[in-house]
Amino acid sequence: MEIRVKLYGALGKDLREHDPLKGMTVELPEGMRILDLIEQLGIPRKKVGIISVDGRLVKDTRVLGAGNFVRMYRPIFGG
Amino acid sequence: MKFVKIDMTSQGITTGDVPTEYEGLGGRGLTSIMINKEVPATCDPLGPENKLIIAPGYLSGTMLVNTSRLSIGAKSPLTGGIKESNVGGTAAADLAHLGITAIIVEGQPADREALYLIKIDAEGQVELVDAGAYRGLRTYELVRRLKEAYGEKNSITCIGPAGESLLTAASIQTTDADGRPCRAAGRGGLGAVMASKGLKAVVVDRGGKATDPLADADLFKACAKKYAQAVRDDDFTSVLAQLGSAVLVGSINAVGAFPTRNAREGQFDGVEKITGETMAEVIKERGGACTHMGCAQCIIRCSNEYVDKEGAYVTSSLEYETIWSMGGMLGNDDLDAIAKLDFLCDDIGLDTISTGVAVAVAMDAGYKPFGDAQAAIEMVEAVAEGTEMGKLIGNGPAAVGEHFNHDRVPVMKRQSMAAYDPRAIQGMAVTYATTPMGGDHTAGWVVADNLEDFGGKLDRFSAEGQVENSRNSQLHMAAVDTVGICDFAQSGFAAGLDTVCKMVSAKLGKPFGEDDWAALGIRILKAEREFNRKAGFTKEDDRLPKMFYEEPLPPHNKVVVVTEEDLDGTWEF
Repeated sequence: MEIRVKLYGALGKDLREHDPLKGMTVELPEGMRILDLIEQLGIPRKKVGIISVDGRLVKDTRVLGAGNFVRMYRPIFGG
Repeated sequence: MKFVKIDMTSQGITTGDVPTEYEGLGGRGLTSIMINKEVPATCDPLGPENKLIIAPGYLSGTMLVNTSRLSIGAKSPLTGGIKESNVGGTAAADLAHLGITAIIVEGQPADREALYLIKIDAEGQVELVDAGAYRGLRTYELVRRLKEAYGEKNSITCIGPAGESLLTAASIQTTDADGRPCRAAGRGGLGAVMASKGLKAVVVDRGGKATDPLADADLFKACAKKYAQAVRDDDFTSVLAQLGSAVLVGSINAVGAFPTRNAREGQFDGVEKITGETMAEVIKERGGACTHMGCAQCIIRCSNEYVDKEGAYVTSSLEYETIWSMGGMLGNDDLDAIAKLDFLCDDIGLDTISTGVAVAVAMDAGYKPFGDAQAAIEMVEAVAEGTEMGKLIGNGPAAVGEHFNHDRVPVMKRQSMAAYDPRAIQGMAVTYATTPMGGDHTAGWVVADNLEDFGGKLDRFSAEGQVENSRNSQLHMAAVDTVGICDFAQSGFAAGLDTVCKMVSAKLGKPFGEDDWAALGIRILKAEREFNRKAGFTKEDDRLPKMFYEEPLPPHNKVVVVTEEDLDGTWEF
């Protein structure tokens, strides 16, 4: 299945196919969780903070479906 | 370690040693404790009894990285209470290199038309110079002319037309590492206080060689090295270098805490056009700078230089709070317009937060439609033109709300909140309501503590634990603002609070431990609260507007659940 992924906070900096404005399309087997997606992308889990699927906040155990739009944000600090 | 006192009534200048009672203080601790002691709390903030105190952090000018923070304190004409607003740039380091602990500006010229500037040369000689020729100038032109007169190698701290008009959203601007007046001590209307003293600018030579000696230089050096390494090692440091504070736009919007269209919604439908990621791509494509050193001794470089389609400079640095106040808050997704508004605020000498929210309140009241960026630009320009609408905008959101008889005004103690809606992050409800500074995010930024996905332990929709957490954060920040460490360099605390305390001790020449750090925070908050109490503030001032209790914020549809009783318990210690 195909899903769309957009990475924020420079999470996608080392992924050549990731466009900072448009994100990227990822091919995943059915039944994969967000945790599996993070692993497939090669991003250390601790670098991912908030995750949303189709605009709704989700946990990393959420099972993905075809056509989902996943957004992942890096933990923040500041003010 | 010296105080420079300037009596604007007599134009007399005195320089003397720092009195023992203020020993070991700098930044906010110094400004707040001194104002509480020396300024009559009920005085007219724009009258001769108020004092404008300009103080580098206690560790500014030392070898420690990211310590060029300049605190400016006074009684605020916006809140009517005590105020400290701190700013980066180079002035703090430059003053500290001259051994100046504070510049204390008191009194008022009898001739209300008089306008001066303070010039401090490389030997620390202070002179008060007639600045009548610079009256009415916007800050960029003012700085250009002052550099012509005094040379490039000066830091310049100044006000623009908004300050000269005594407007309560007027900022004090200061020059960055490239000599542009784009850094703002924005909050509290301190630009109006500076103008009320007949002061247009403070010009400080950047070549001072009289930094306070360190009692134990070896210990200081070892700790400073450790601290800097912790900043470098922190994952977020590299993110800030790539995206700046604008990295927050995407995440705060994702969690539904990005106040949109005067806080009617918690998510902005146009957000993708104004995220830090989008901004960085726009800047890169046009040949601007995403990574830029704005402040002296900065190793983070969170600043940027935003340029137009032709590659010409527009502003520096486009930050999260401004992208919110001039973007989401106005329903405006035009990044170029946001950058232009940021520049205008710096140039006219206005707080971008209060100004943007003032425009948002006007739009909410029906004066102009949300999303009309051109109308926003015209409203900000009107401040410099001195029109009636301009005066309203320049006096901030509370003044605009009163004019339109509109009660959706997100202010605390008359000062606008910042870019985190308290209905979606309950911890910020406590900070906004209870800080003596009025609506202010930096006083106790508890956002990450409220977000589980960012490692937070608190439920952001529950009141449980919020008071204690905000209190602790506020006490800690009071101490941080005293030593003058940049908020974004707090990652260095991973080296241990004891590392910071050892540096204070190594400068002071006396023991200073973690208990002293905690006591310092309490001492400052007590002084600030005492001043506000004397000025007439009661617990009824530690409140949020009713919109936050009555209007559920989409998409989570929550209201503030922290009770007034909870808030009243914040400072019972």
